[in-house]
Amino acid sequence: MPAGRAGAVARARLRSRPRGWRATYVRDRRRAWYRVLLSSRVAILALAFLIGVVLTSVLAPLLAPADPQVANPAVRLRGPSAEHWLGTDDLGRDVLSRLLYGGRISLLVGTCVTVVAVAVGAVLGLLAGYFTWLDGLLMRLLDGVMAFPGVLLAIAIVVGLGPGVDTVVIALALVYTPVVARLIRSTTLVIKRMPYVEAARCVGLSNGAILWRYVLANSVSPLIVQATFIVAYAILAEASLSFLGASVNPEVPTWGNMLRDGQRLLSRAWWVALVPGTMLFLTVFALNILGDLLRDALDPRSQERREDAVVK
Amino acid sequence: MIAYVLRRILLLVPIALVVGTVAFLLLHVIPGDPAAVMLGPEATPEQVAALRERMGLDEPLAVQYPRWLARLARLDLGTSIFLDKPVTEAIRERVGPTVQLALYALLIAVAVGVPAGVVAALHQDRLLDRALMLFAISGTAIADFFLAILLILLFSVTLRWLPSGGYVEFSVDPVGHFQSMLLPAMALGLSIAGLPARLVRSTLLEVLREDYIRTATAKGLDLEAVAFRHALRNALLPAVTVLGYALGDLLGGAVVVETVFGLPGMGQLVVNSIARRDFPVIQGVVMVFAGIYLLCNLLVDVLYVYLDPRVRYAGG
Amino acid sequence: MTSTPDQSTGAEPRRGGTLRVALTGEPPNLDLHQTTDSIVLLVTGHMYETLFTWDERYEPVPLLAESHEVSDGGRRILVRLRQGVPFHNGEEMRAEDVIASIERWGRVVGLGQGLMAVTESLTAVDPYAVEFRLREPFGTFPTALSRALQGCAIYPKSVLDRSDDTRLAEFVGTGPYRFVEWLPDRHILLERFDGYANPPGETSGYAGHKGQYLDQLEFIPVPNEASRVAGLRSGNYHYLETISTDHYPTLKDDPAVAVDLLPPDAWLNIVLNLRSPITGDLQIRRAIQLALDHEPIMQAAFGEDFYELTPTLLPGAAAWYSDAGADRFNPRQPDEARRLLESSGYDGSPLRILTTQEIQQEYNAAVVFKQQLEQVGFTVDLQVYDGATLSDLRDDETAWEAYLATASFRPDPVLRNLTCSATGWWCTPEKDELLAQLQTESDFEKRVEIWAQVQERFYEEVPRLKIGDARRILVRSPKLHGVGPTELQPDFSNAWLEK
Repeated sequence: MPAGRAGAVARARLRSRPRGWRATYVRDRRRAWYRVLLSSRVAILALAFLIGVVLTSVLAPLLAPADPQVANPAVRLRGPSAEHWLGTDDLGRDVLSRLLYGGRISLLVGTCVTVVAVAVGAVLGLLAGYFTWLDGLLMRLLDGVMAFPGVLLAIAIVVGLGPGVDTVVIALALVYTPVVARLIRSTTLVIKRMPYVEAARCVGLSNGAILWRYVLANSVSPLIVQATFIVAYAILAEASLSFLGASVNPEVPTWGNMLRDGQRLLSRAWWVALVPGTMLFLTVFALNILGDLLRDALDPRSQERREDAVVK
Repeated sequence: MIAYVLRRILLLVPIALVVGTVAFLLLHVIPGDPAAVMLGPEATPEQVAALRERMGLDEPLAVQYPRWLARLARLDLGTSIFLDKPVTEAIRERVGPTVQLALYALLIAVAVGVPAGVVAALHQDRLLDRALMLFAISGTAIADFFLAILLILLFSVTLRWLPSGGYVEFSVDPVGHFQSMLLPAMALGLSIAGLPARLVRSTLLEVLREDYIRTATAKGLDLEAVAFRHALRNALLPAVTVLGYALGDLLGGAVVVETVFGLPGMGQLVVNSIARRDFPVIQGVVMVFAGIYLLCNLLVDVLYVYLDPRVRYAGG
Repeated sequence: MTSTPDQSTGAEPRRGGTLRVALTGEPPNLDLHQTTDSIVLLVTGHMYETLFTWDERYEPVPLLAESHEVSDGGRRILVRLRQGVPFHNGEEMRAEDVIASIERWGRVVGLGQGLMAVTESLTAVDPYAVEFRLREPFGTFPTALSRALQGCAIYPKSVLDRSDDTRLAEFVGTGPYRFVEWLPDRHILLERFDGYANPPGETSGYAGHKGQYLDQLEFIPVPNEASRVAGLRSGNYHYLETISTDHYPTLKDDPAVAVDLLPPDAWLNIVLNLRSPITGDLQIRRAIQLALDHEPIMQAAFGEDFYELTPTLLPGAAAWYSDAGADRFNPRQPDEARRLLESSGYDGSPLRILTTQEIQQEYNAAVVFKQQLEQVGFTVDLQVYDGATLSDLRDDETAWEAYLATASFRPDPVLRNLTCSATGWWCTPEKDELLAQLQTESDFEKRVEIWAQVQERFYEEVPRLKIGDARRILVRSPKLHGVGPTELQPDFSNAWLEK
């Protein structure tokens, strides 16, 4: 952060700039968000870790020393060793291989849920925020869905439709769509009152164009932040579902069902549970950190706050 | 103010309808026959059919739905197939441990989270702040059942300080009660303590920058005293309200934590009822959970309006 | 022989205390006639009694009966009842109660139906004597009416009059502990029945004198296995219903836990659906039999030291041991299996295996089973469900080809349901004829021979695949003593707790 005279000048300039949503138009006086983000060492670490997780999951077939599903009972419940770097589980399956493949499901579920929730939620939020006559109806519907405790709703859906990645994604997307919808709705409500939107309408722009070019464009920042958190929540939620036995087919390794298998034998073979549990924790942790830092980087007001802190 | 409250209450009705309909629809998609489960694998098909008829499971959905809605209006949640008693009674028997768990977890979250947030704000950007915020994020990042298992491993199995499960009623043995609830409450509470911690920290920081605080410091008052007296009050409000909204997560988390600790609450009731295909119970509990959530939101919204004059005068 | 752990302690039994037993889940009901779920016998075995029961050599001896006489070439059986035996509700047990109970049991239970099928009349000749008039002799009479899963518990007629065939109006019996309350998901509570009429004779197996030292028996459902184990180690529970043998290494060194390793008395089996187009074909079943290597399956399910591979279908009952058909037990000839499969015209349709993760051993076995089948050319579809859906699907003969099950201890082969109506639908007239003879024959030697023939057919016709015998571990608090035999569920009537 610039200090000293240059800093004082910069701060003076910032304090004089317009507040509120209009600020997003005044881009040139702020540092680009990605610069802010990358200036933080923690962010780089978190990002690098996540990229690592994604890469190892995608390349799992190449990296995994063994087939994650082949049972080899003769070597069951062995601790970490030269042949099995992270030990074996109670069917003699290699924990490292299962960890790598497990990441695929956790990440796949996390990403798909987020994509669906963001896509559907954004549409619903835009509609609810922009068209007042739709607002009441949509909001009641979303509030109704949000009233259900997410885990229970997801369990009921997965048990009802049968296990599988698609069912889990549907269930969790249903849980998180209202969250996105609410967010987009509130930003839409604010933006649609902005003069430039009125101006656009006067000029004759269609509602669709307005929604796309002005409303959505200005909602992108909070949407990205929210999306990051939803990936984290979805990964954790899938783990909870696996733990309760309401997720994908148990033969397919996921970090959640590895935790479930391992928790039975925690005192006998700690590695079976601790390995996926730690991986799960680190991934969600990194996502949370990233989300926080993204939020700080993208929100102009918090930037200003950070600069003020130097004064103290 | 009254108008606002009334309006909010009225809005609950269509939401409740949506909740009830979704619950009804969901559960009739589930395969598996509760009658067959109850009678065991060697029951004859005739016995199973007889039980289904007794339970009214064979009627078409179009008949079951209006009947369901009518009963809901009377707050009649039906009769449990497995437990052979009204669902409301089954829930009433079990609501105790769940509500207690949620309450204790909330208490722990506040008792740990708020001071942590304050300390972090006062030491902004220094090591203590970063460490505390790291813990806050860790709490939300860790799966609550994993935390529960680790706590059991540490405090029950290794140190033998606390029981690993089971439930002791307060009226029977107050000390035992808190002993049995401490670990579950910690597992749940610590995992959400991060929320109030971060919120208290950020709002405290915001408030601390306000001009009236600067004036106070300029006048020479000790910063810590100022923070506690003026700033904290303003920072507490959003922290508490966010916990109110987090109740949904709490209730969902309670389901998993109750399973690990064997607490006879509504969470375990639901999980068991799903395995047993006890439709009425699942519907009933989900409705009750949703109802609790809606009520809490209402309370929090009203509280917010009451406590925050800005919102009140803006019309709510 | 029964295996009665911890009978050697010389200490004096202490009266008092509440025993806390952790169960794997909730029993579906507390009506012994209704279901073969072992958890029901575990609890109700203390509440209800049967006419006969087992001594330490697993011979049937009278319990509620005082004696029984067989006459008229086996076609007349007179059972004299003990007098002055009270029910928990104060009524005295009389012939009418016994008749009402047997008739209900005879309607609901397969073995009972077999007995009733040959019964012409069942009458009370006096208030304490019941007479059966049979069309043909029923040699296994006392065995059939002994303590068993889905055994013939004696209920009061006054209760049965208010009940129906699927539900009891009240839980009343003659046993040493009476029912107090059942709070589902919390506990089932039994308390000592002070008016209990103690059977004559020394304690022997499940028979004889009952000490009734414990004030109360509390059964608590704890479905999470790790919680059960942790609860025992921290002193919250005194006895665990059943846990996986994988815990043995950690538990045997824990001073807070007493572990007994029991001889193998249950067997893991794979039930095949003889009404399916795939497994209905004998050649395909033989191919499966040849394809499997039992050791890895048992290892995966139970762990290295906890199983044995023997062909007997009644492990734990030494008198009934037979190695009939042993040449077809675990032959391990995958090449031959492949050849048989190809020549059978198997079209590659998926062989569906039903399993659940709620019973971890069975799930693990299923995974290895699937692998071995695939290696010889089967296409396999492993379907994992929860217990409820599984129970449902098992009755549907179009829904599966195989499922995993554990066959628990039976002291006598008639108590093992291999009839045509049992799931799997093994219906061959010769075998059914043999089973009927097994029920009606009374000469022990002859019955052993008949059973050996049944076992021979079992391995020839492959209705199921016996994989191996499983050892169990019995896990309890070291403060708990005097636990009775456990093969037919543990008996706590003579158990006591240290302070």
